[in-house]
Amino acid sequence: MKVLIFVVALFAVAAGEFCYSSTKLSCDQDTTKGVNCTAAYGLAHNYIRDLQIYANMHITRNFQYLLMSSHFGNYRKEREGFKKLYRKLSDTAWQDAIDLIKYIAMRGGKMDFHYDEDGSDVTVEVSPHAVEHGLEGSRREGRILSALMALEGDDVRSTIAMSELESLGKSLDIQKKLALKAHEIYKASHRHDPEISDYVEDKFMHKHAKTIRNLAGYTRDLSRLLEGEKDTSAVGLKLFILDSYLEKVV
Amino acid sequence: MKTVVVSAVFFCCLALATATQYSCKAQAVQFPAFKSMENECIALMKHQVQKELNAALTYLAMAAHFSEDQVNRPGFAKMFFESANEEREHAIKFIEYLLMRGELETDIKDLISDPYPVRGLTWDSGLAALKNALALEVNVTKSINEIIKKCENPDVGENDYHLVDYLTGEFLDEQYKGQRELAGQISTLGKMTKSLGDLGEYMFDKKLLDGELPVLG
Repeated sequence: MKVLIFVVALFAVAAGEFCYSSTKLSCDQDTTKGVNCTAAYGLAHNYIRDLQIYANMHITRNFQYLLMSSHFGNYRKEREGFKKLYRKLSDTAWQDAIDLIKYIAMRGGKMDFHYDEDGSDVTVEVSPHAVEHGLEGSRREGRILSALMALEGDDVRSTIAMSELESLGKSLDIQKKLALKAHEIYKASHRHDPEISDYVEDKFMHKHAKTIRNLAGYTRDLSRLLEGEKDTSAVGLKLFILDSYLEKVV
Repeated sequence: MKTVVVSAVFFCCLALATATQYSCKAQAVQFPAFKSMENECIALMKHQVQKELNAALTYLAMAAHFSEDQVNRPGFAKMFFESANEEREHAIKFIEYLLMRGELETDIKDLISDPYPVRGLTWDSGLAALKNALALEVNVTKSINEIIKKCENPDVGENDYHLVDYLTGEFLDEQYKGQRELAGQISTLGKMTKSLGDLGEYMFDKKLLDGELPVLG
């Protein structure tokens, strides 16, 4: 009898019914321990790492935008429009990270917070106190945010505390990086797992295109306004006017 | 084309900046002294931003875990995603307070350094996750109380009445209510899972998902 069940199960396996055959085998042994039914199918597992990296990119950039937003909120800068613009970009990046985490889970993967933009594993330095109590946040050896800023700015000090035009340029570069990574994931996955490429296209690509167009527009407006302007108080007034417009529009 | 424009603008700014020191930046304005936060206080508030974000990332990791198909507790996942959002909002509130008091002029770059989920935590069950969440909240509350103590009696300077009042009213209130809510949930879930383990957690998860459990505040 057991041989017959085994043979039936083998046929089921051959026919691609892995989950069913595992349930049949398990139930016939009066257990459910051997049940092997996951949400993974097709070649999605090949792209989970890329999706993890993409989620971590969004988390890192969300904090970068948050810092930029806060910078323009200080009393010396007092640029409510820029503050709102970067806060919105920060919130969007955070929500997109959450959406990606949910998506990874949906496709049968697990989220891993280790892997970031350059794809390398970030070693985590954990204090003994942290391990013992498991409560204090630990600092990363390769600090992604500060490493990024060191790479991206000739002067690390200035990569957050930038002038208005520089900050627009920075945000445009960031958005393009995020957009291009989406393209990468699409290109890698669309022949093998079109559901992933479709998700990436629907959820990210079109939104990115709009955001990039808007940012490029603001950058162009500001650079034209400031072109050849030698009077610093005129610069101040022009910045104020653009900032007021941004505040209404964002 | 756009990269050309951006780099042209950059070089324009760079050239003009080095040549004449203006063009992209408005002139500096003189201010009378108005900032009043003590240095120890400012440092503690800045450190708290980092703590709140670490908590946010920890909740995010918990939520990610309960979203997995082989764990499949959507109620817990929903709760922890909401907690992650809340902790990030708290961090933003701390930043807003510092900005309101005139701080974060030049030192903003180091404010956030790579928040990461707290290590060494495991969430083998919903109950374990709730207990870890409570421990995390207790840790955050303790830290806020430290700020209050220090800012009320700084080594150098005056009692910062407004900050202490703000932290007590805005943050401690929410912390204590949140802790009480978690404690109640741990109690309920603990009793539900005592003999029927998985069934208890399964039912509790569905109640969490539907918002059927009593919520404070």
